[in-house]
Amino acid sequence: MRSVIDVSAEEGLLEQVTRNDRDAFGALYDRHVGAVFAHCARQLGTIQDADDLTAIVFLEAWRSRYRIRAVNGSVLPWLLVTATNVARNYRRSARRYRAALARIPAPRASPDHAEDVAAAATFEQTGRALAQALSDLRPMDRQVVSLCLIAELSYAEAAQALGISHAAVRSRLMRSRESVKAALLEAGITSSQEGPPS
Amino acid sequence: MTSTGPSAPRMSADRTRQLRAAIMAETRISNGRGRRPLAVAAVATTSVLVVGGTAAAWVAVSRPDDPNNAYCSSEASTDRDVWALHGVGTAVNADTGKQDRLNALEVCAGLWRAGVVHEPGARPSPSGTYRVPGLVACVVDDQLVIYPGGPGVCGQLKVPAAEPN
Repeated sequence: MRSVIDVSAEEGLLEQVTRNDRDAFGALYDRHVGAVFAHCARQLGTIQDADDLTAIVFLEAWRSRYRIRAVNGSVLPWLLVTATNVARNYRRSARRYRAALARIPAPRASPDHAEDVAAAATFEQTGRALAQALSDLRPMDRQVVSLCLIAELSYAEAAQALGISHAAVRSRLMRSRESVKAALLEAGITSSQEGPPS
Repeated sequence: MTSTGPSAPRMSADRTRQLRAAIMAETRISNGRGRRPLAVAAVATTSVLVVGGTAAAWVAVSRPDDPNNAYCSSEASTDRDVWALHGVGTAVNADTGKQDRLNALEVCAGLWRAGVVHEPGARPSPSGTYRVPGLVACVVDDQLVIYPGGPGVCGQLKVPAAEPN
């Protein structure tokens, strides 16, 4: 399967980030905030709080910038793994970053776009079932399902991001697939990972 | 579909910019406070002569990412599904946002004593408590993990021992 990760120029950005280059960190934010937010919303099962969780993931990335591991030259897998971990311990993480979160201004009131409202309502209906299915999994199984079936990373990328073998990714997916399949379908997620592994 | 496909949840452009500004402001506050990965330091490398050949014994220490949150593992394993089952941490002061210091060895010993963390088939003593094995602190995936066993456990698992808190 083709990788969904776009890596052009990203390794250079990461290197700059490790030299405390904030502009480079901003560029990484711009690249990945959409994917991270979507991942956070699916982990929580709601769009509410997903922006706070997204902020925590990027704050954690800055704090851990010297030890971020790129996969295929991209930091996205690391961000997604961190998002899943933070979502599992959301309350605890929110406490750790309480002061920083408090400094984030409340969303500005803006005219609601009917399309956005409808999309949010649809997600809220299905997202909780998915989040519940994910939270019922063992931590590492949840990571594998999140990376392979939801974020659509290849097995090899997921294995590298999680520091486990390709075979372990496969077996964990086999074990978890049935239990989350219904919830994924309900959430409108049909994964291309159903075929043979890459 | 992908995480950013048409049906993916999206943050509004305005909120994305707002969040960016806030995060960048935080990076200015905390710039330079990050910890370089040099905390993991091999402090001794010794060659030990054994019958029939040589083997290298090594000792490494590391600082966990967060010394106030730890995991009490029931067996010596680096499988996250095993060691991450029982997490412990200290409370955060609601006024200051600061977290109290954790004595992970003591807290995990308490979980063993209560039978929350136990070996398969463990039975309580007549007083209702369980046997507490020797405990040792290692660092796995940057997390503080308390394993049953002696000082050699971290080395056997090929993970660094935790720096004293």
